[in-house]
Amino acid sequence: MTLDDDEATRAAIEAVRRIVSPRLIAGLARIAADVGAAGELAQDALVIALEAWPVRGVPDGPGAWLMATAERRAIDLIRRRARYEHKLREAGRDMQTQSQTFGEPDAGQVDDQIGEDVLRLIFIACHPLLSTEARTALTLKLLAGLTTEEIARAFLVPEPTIAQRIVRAKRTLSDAHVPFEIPRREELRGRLASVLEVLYLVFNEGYSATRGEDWMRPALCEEALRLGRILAELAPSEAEVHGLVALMEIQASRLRARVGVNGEPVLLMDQNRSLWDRILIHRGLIALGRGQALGEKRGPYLLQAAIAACHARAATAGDTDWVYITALYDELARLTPSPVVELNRAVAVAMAYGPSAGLELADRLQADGTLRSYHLLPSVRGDLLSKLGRYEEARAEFERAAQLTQNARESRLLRDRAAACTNQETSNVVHAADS
Amino acid sequence: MDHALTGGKVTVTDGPFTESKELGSYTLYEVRSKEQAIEWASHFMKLHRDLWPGWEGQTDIPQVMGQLDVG
Repeated sequence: MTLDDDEATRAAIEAVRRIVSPRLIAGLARIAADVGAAGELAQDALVIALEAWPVRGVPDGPGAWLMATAERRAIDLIRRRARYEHKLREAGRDMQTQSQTFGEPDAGQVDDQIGEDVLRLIFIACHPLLSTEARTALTLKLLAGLTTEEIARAFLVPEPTIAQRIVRAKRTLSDAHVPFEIPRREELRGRLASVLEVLYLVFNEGYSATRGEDWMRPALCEEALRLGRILAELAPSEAEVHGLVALMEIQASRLRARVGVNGEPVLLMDQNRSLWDRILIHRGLIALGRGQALGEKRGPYLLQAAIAACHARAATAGDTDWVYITALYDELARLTPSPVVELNRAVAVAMAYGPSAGLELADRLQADGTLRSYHLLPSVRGDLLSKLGRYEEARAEFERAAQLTQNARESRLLRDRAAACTNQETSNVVHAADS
Repeated sequence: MDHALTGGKVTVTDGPFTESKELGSYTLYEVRSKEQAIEWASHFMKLHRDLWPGWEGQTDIPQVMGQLDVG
């Protein structure tokens, strides 16, 4: 085997790992009744593949091969644990049915089983016992198939921090004897909200990175979107799941248009709309329709999706229906009062009714003080002040925003905008002198 | 950003909002002065007159943002 073949095999294993790892872990967690052990078993199976495949070649059904290998190890593990003897019988039965389905492929049946396993795993990983950070790390590790190193890189925290977070989360779940099951109907809504929150946060970090050199981290958006789509298929009667998926599809459609050739941010008005991903927009609008068709009062995710859809539907920046967007923000603000929502409402109001009206709302937030460390408040105020020709104040706001953000790209953009205000001031002075 | 206020009344969670994150006044092209704007517009009109005999028309110089003191 040449080096190139070796490389290709490794690439194949990596691709398989990403695709099958969540299902593998989900299936194993059911057999071993232990999420931590399931992760290790899946890892073991991948190590065996890494040793075997370069020699024997990648098998035809790599996913089934990994599952069978991991299952054998799961059984070994259970055998070693004498106190789990009764589990052995359960696992033995499960394995029989599993190997039958793998032997005689019945796609529907396999998908149902895998689907349920994945769903159970999502609910475990996002268990309310865990902190938001722990839930996020565990979800990315177990369900998105990201390595600890990748998660650490995505959130720009040291790898040991993430590793620790994951270990602790698994211990918490195991100590609390959290059952590996889909929550019962009466607690489903609440538990689902916790899952959706994690996906929303992961997506948001991808959409606008808190720290680092890159303005966005598209890989995080993709993972959140992928898990959201699975969730929507598994829980089709939940309107807010469709709402979140719609929001993510539509916001992800602009990812390509949002950066210039050198990675610099390109703002909405300057984006080349032909670069927007029409397929994602289409999927997003369908998801939005599906969620709204369920006929309930629109929740916060459906409302945010409806706002995103207004942008997606506008052929040019000038076609944007700002009056309708403002109405949607009014509804969102009533439903989930939050200074962040209020800040965005201020921008919509400014676009619909003029910068002074928007600034009035932003000024109220300034006085309230809750957002004092949030760079987007001075950023929005700077924008509105500059639209009103108050360049000196605008410059000060942009500079403050540039200092507050920890994202290098955004900081540069804000500094540029501060400099543009200085230029405007100077040119106004020159004009005044001319006339 | 994610701070829950004491009393648990309001939770401030950041989100993928277009309005605060992707909006901002846009620079079409930076016309620094009234003279420059009028000069460009005149040039544009002259081209029409030169290349299109019998053409009649007028142009507007809209104020897109800021205080461009175009009369």
